[in-house]
Amino acid sequence: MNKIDLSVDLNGLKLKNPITVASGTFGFGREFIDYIDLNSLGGIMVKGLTLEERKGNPMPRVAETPMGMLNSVGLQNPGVKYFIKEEMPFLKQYDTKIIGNINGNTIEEYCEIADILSKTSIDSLELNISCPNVKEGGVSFGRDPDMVYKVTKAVREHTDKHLIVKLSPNVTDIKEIAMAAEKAGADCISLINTLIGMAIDINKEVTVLARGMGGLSGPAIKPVALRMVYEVFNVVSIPIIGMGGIMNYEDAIEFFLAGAHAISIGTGNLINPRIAIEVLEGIGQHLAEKGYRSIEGIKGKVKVPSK
Amino acid sequence: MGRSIGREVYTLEKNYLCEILENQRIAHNVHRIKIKKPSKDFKIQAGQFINIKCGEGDFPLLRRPISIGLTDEESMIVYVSKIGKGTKLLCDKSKGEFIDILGPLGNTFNVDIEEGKVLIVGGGIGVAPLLELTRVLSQKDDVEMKLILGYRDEPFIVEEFKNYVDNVIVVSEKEGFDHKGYVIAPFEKELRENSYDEVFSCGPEPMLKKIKEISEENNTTVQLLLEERMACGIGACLVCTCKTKRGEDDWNYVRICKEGPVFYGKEVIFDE
Ligand SMILES: Cc1cc2nc3c(=O)[nH]c(=O)nc-3n(C[C@H](O)[C@H](O)[C@H](O)COP(=O)(O)OP(=O)(O)OC[C@H]3O[C@@H](n4cnc5c(N)ncnc54)[C@H](O)[C@@H]3O)c2cc1C
Ligand SMILES: Cc1cc2nc3c(=O)[nH]c(=O)nc-3n(C[C@H](O)[C@H](O)[C@H](O)COP(=O)(O)O)c2cc1C
Ligand code: FES
Repeated sequence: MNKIDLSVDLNGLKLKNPITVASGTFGFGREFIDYIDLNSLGGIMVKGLTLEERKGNPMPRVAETPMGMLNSVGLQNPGVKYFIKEEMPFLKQYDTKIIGNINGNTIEEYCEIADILSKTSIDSLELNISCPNVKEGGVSFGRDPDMVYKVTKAVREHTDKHLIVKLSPNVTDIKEIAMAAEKAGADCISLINTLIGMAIDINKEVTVLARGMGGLSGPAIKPVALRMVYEVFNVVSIPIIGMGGIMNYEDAIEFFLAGAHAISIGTGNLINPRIAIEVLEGIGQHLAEKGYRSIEGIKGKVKVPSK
Repeated sequence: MGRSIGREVYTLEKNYLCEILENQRIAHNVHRIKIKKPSKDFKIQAGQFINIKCGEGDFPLLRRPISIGLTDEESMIVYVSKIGKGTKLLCDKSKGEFIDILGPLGNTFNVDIEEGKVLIVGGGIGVAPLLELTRVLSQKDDVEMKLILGYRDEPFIVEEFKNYVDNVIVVSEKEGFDHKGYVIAPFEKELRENSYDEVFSCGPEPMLKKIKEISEENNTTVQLLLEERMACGIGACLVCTCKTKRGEDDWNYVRICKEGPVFYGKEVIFDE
């Protein structure tokens, strides 16, 4: 049997395997050491970071929905400086790539966080552009290609680090958003973030989440995520990290076939803390059975029967 | 069980498949489920919980947190109130079936008390974690205990409590028990008439809020076991927090599944 090379090069960010864990579902890694060897992961996207500490939203912050969950954590995090001082040293003990998920209310804030993280040994920055833009009246950065271009370009000018732009699925045309990010200098694209949703308690006649709406994740969003990865793969030439509802290796293979170069697991970690390892093993076996030698080989290989 | 490959190859420290030894309906919509401990050295303490996969495959998607009700060498008992999809599936499991659990999770009641008087107050299914607590405290010769257990209607596991302590006040909104109404009135009376060194409580949030207030008015330390909707149960997702004090006039959201579920009353801030 030919040896399979599971390593991937995401345009400058080299992962030992294509499995990463998604921001907000893996804390800062510590919580998983009872369950999984962090050295076995390709990369860890840490909980979304902001310039200052954020306390987050009131309870309830979670609602289970058919094959998915809604969350409204509200980016609770201790702030980027605390992260660097208290969490980075722990994560850096492991042989895996650490990816900082950054969130701002304004372009200036994104740049400032990028500046701060650029002075550390962090391996990559993932720009979460799903946050509302305070200056422009709370509209999400990620919805407008011009804004995506501006914020990506500005951060690009502030950092030499590998730069991932994480796309929100709450848009009409994901392709133009992805192209804007590529044009502005992103090294890589990750998608998808959560879909905005709602759940209602019919007895109390109130929304289940204290904030009304929240982000839908899990198996329910996988078809949407796959479609978006496929669409983006066809219009950009930078690599894609695909995510959304990956619960087993079969799901991961679908993402590779649609065009992802690496994948990220989110909600799955919350149910099975060992899922990343299981998916990794499954991918290896599947590639072997199919006679592929690398992820590069299977990437984007899906055929549409009558097109 | 439709498990993915590789699972057996690794020894997981806190993820186990456990056999159900008994499952009995003990009251309207309440089950007592006895589970075999995954190993002899599996240690789980009063206040801690396990996060259970209640169904097969992806339904329901998330695990359900359930407190440990009573333990012995080989087994652990949980008391489950059937309120929705997950708890219904769990209560429908039969002897000999296996359940996938994560645990032990969370912190424990602080039982570092060698002597004194302790008042334990439970409401509804919140009495469950207090049973293991009562068992543990009953082993301490110089700790004197009194219990107030409150129910909406039919009481349950009162006899189990009586195995460890004689002094039990049963409260129900229904006629025919020691006290009719809610636990708060007998609790307040008890604290005022006798002095206690420590109060332990678990139950619905409005009840815990009152218990905290009354304990503080009487200068009595209180430990509260809080509940919140959870997803991971291991501290990763931050959906299960509660407000706690930080410094003099600041506060923070901390994870009930990790820093809790047991908090001292003086740490917790309940919203209006
Ligand atoms: C630390 C901890 C320990 C617990 N210990 C026990 C125990 O020992 N025994 C026991 O029976 N239960 C216990 N619970 C509660 C138990 O986890 C929930 O009842 C269970 O998750 C409900 O799942 P379900 O699928 O049956 O209900 P669902 O179908 O998810 O929901 C049914 C209804 O209940 C509401 N609901 C669900 N969960 C909660 C919640 N946490 N708070 C308020 N409303 C809710 C839903 O909104 C819905 O209206 C504990 C919870 C925590 C956090
Ligand atoms: C509880 C929770 C918190 C999340 N927090 C963040 C975050 O801080 N930053 C971010 O970019 N995405 C966040 N996400 C989105 C995930 O990283 C991921 O994009 C999404 O959940 C889709 O993948 P999944 O279906 O595998 O969960 C969060 C998701 C969940 C469920
Ligand atoms: S349930 Fe995920 S942090 Fe508590």
